[in-house]
Amino acid sequence: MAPDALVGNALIEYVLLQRNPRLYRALSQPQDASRVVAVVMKRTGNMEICSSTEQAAALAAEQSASPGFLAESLDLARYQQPEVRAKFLTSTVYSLVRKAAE
Amino acid sequence: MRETQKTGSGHLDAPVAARWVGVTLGVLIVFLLFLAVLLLPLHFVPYGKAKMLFDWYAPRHGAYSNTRNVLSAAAYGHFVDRLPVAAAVFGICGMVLALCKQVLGRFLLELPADWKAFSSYFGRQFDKGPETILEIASVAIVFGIGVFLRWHHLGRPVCFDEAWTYVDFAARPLGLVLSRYPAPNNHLLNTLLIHFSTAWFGNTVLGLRFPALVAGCLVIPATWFLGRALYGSAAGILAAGAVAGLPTFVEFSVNGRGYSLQWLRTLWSATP
Repeated sequence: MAPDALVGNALIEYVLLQRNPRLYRALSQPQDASRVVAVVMKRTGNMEICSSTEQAAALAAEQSASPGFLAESLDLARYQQPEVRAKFLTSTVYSLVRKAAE
Repeated sequence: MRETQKTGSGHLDAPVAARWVGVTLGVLIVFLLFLAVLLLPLHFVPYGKAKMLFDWYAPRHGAYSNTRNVLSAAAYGHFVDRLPVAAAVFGICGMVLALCKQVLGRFLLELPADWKAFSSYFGRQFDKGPETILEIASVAIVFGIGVFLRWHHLGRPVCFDEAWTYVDFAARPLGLVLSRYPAPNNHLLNTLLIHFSTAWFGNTVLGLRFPALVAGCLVIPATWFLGRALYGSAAGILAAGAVAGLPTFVEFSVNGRGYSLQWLRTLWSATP
């Protein structure tokens, strides 16, 4: 069976590890995976001095997080177009399937 | 006939203690040089064999990690590149220790006497008669409040750095916990303690924050002790109260990072 992988940040990995360690252990490294679920965080710049309201407004102004950020973790050329699975205020969830030639 | 001399600890004759120190240092020197010799050939172990060994080792020794234990080629490269440096460091340490064995031996033999002086000083801090009982009761109350506040906030959501500490470092096998340092985010002592505390308490916030919590609680009496030694009883209690109740101290005492351990170490170092 084709290995699946999760691309997220440490917090997302930690929560998955805590809630479902078996699923977490079953995942493979992103570069080896045929199917990837990616949680991409919106990047609105440094908001350390912003209030919560200002932060929420800045995050809400972006429709979704750019899948281009996934290039840091994956070779996007090897995958089909990312599909949006869910949108949140702070992040967007994408799924990717490796191209058939691979 | 040779007269028997007692060391500071009062347990061993001076010649016997000197012999033990000599043997211990000798063993340490041999061990360091052995490590240096051992690490060099490991540099030449190919990736395939190293991965095979790792795949066998990780599930057994990282059982409580509940995480993926994958030796990637990049991680192997980082590790192997550092082996000659590590071998050189161990070798140099072994040789320096061999050269300074006599001096270090004398220093170690004098430690028990120094410790006796320190114990005497520590005892004098509490040798103030009836005042001390009231003072200790005050500190106990302050300590209790501090512990309550920390315990109350223990269940706060896990922060990014804490999650990173656990997922990338503490949950890994012990060898990787101590040898992997890709960023200063890995507070080594804290990571090591989390490795053991999560083995004990499981992957829970208590397990993740237990070392920081204990250190954050101990900072309260440590602050009192230092404040008292430097500026008197009132200053000690006031400082302990501030540490017990100020939000920053409470927050970092329930943050599974090495900061509260660092406070404790700093206070310990600063204690006269």
